[in-house]
Amino acid sequence: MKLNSNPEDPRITSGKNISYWTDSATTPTQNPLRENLKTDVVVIGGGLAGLSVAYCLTQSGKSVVLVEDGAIGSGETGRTTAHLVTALDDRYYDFESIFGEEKTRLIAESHQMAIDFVEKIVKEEKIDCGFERVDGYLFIDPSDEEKSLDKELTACRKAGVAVEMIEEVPGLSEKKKGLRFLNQAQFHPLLYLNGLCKAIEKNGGQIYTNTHASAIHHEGITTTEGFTVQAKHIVVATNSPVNNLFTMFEKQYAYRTYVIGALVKKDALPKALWWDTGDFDVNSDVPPYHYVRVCPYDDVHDLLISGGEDHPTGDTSKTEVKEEDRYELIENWTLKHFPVQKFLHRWSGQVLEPMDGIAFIGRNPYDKDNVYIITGDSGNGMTHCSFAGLLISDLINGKKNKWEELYNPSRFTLSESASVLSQMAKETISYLKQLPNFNGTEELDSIKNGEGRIVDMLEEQFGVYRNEKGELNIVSAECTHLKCGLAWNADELSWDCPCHGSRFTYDGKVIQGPANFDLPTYRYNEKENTLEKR
Amino acid sequence: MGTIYAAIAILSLTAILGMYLLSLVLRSKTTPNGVAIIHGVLAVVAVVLLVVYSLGHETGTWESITVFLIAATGGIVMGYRDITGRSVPKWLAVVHGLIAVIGFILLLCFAFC
Repeated sequence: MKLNSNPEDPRITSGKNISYWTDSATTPTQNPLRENLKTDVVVIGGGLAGLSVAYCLTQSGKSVVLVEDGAIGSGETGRTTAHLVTALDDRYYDFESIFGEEKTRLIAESHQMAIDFVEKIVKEEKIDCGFERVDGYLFIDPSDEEKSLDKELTACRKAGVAVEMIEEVPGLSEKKKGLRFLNQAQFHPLLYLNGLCKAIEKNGGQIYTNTHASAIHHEGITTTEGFTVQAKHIVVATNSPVNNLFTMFEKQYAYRTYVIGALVKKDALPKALWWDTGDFDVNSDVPPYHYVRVCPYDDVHDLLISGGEDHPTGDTSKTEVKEEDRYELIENWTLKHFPVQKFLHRWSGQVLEPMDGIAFIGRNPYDKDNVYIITGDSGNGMTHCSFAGLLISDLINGKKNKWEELYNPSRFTLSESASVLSQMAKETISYLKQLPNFNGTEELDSIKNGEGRIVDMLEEQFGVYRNEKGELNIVSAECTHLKCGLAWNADELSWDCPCHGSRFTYDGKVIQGPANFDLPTYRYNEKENTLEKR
Repeated sequence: MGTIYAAIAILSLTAILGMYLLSLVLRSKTTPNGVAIIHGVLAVVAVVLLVVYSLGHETGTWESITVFLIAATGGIVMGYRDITGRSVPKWLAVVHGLIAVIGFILLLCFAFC
């Protein structure tokens, strides 16, 4: 397991742990914006969504400037497990009851289009990213009912998804019945992004990294350094949109998800994808499920990548298993199901779960018509983000697109409004917990090396982390998005917002929206027992 | 008059929390969201009680309600600025408090004079 020894390393911006993808791909050279520019379209975010949009637009002849505040793929694309699927995280029978049969067919079609689109780009641009078509297998978690596979089979067929029931899922240690989804795919996400960058630049697009868009409006962006990019269209592809203060965050909810990489004997397992149906005992509304794939590693091994054990960001209260302890659960589950030799990698990522299970792609609600957002990956970020390239490109080019209404970020699915009320209750509770502590000041000496926690001090709350050298890092304990109280994530050494999923490094740098600004940081003056704002 | 007395009791509690929040704003300290929310909710409950009373009686306490609504506008502006990361102007916090005090005095006069 490799750790990010230097958190300011621009390769990694969203946590301590390094994913297998980041570890095995070369990051493109850093290129910060140092001038004012004018362009047709400015894209904010250098992950799969932003680059797919930029690629499609440069292909259609638009001039495009893309800015990314870290390195290419340093956000969630670098922390995915890169399943390209029509077998979605949510069940098709649920989509059918929410959207009806016709829209469910459209949903399935869009994901199929996304896989085909990626395959086409890989071929046309000759991107060496290990793209391969594989089958995927869905099998039952013990907490789920057997009949759910039959229901899913029926719903999939109605939606036009190529699927069949099989008596034994290949690769599993024990015999299990399951559904085989044909023609799914997998790739190395960062190698694919590197290929997209080259294609975009070949088409005349400009890509700037280490460039933070601190102000985003309908005329363009301003960077932290004060440079501007004026544009006719603005696309915010920052995973969680940093330009939308209120409207989206009642409709989508942030979850942490955990991944391990393990060596298996070469060719002991078929190249495939596997998913279980999720643990209904933990959460019957959003059952956390496991997802597995295999990719080539060296001459004698393949790498099995297995993930799951999701929980709401900043909140592990449901199962009381802390972030850092969740890998062990995945490792145990993986050992039970697959012939693992050795565990090598651990990392975590973030999923945005929309209220109705499909992404928000289109015009930013209550904004000018030339501002677009891509968010709510719903655990299917690879296909949602790739498809976003096609949809946003059509919207900007004034072409009719039959998915515009389906993925419209302004939609509100009334039948799923209970989740909105639950989210509002969660926010209110978070705010109400922010009460003054009249019990006095906590001693900073009580914080051990490597420990982080919220501390009541000088009539305020602060997030304090003491690093392994004993140095204190003191930040405000309130998120810069909407002032929710932050929680310490000892796994990624980050401050996570339980309300809307914003995240900050231990020293306050914003690494995940919707917050777009760093936390205030403080220096402790021991002699005078005061804190000075840095 | 029971409703009016209840409103006065709630407003007294609101005022205590308000003074605590004001003391923090004046010392440039972070205001705890929990206290700010309870302060706002209590104020809303009290004004609703005053409106209910005034609608049911010939001589309502409309003057104090009007003044409280003006104070509430200031409170909403401060709450919005605070939650969206902008600073709360100290003068606005003081004016908000003073207006609320005027409303409270008018209410006390209505109830006891």
